[in-house]
Amino acid sequence: MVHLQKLHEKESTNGLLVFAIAMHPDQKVALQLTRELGLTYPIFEGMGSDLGKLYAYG
Amino acid sequence: MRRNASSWFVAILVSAGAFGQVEVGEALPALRLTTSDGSTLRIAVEGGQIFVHRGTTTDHPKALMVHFLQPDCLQCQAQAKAMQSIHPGVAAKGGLIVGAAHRGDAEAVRAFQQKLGLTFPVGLITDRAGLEKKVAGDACAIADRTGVVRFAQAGFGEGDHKLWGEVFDALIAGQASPHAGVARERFKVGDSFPAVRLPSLRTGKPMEYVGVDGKLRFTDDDGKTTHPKAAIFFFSRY
Repeated sequence: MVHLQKLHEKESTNGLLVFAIAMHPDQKVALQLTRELGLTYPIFEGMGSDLGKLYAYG
Repeated sequence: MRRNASSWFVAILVSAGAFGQVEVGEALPALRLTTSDGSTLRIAVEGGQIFVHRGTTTDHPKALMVHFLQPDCLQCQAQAKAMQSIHPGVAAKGGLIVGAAHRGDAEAVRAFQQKLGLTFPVGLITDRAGLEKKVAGDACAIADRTGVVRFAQAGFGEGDHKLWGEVFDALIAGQASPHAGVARERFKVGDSFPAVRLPSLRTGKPMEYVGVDGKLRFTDDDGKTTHPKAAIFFFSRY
């Protein structure tokens, strides 16, 4: 995540979009971790979504 | 330096690492665990029957689920909570769930069990010899009363506990397992990723990522729309 953050900082102006779909069971904890890690790329809330159920595993 | 946009388009799925390779149709591997209370739990398949030795007692569960886990893995924790949700019903019918940590130490395993309120036994694998290719990452297997694995799964997704419950019910009843694993979609090179229309984690406002007319379109939680040349995305369990 930190490496992707660096990539986001370096390449977003060149047209690269980095984004995450959060699958943490506790949204507040996910938000806190996001702040602590200094993540600034867009993050969707994906817990409970059909997309998450279909693709988020492993 | 200019880059070809297509070279950027990469999809990433977060993984818990390498997966265990316990396969459907093979015997559940023998395991020796040190549980949270310091006792030894031993699982063995002998003479076409599962033996679960705990202290001075020996059980022959009608079906046995083993969760290969890492105590510090959030996905493993989510999976263990889902297992706990079916555990009372499974145990009442003669089934058993066991958590088998292949990383960490006794304290980590104890904290894992206490934090999640797990009432099924969880232990640290004390002898991994011969298990290196069988137990890794976040995986689980359900064996029937003869010790043959009838269901195996790598990773975890929401709703999986329903499948496990169905497998347990069938195996406990002496029937064939209705599932051998979990069918999920996998991204392949050349696939189009479906549109993402979900709220922002930060603001709760809607955001959108979609491919339209051969272009990527992203709308952030301020309503600002851009057309990125490429995107990298991933599912994050933190």
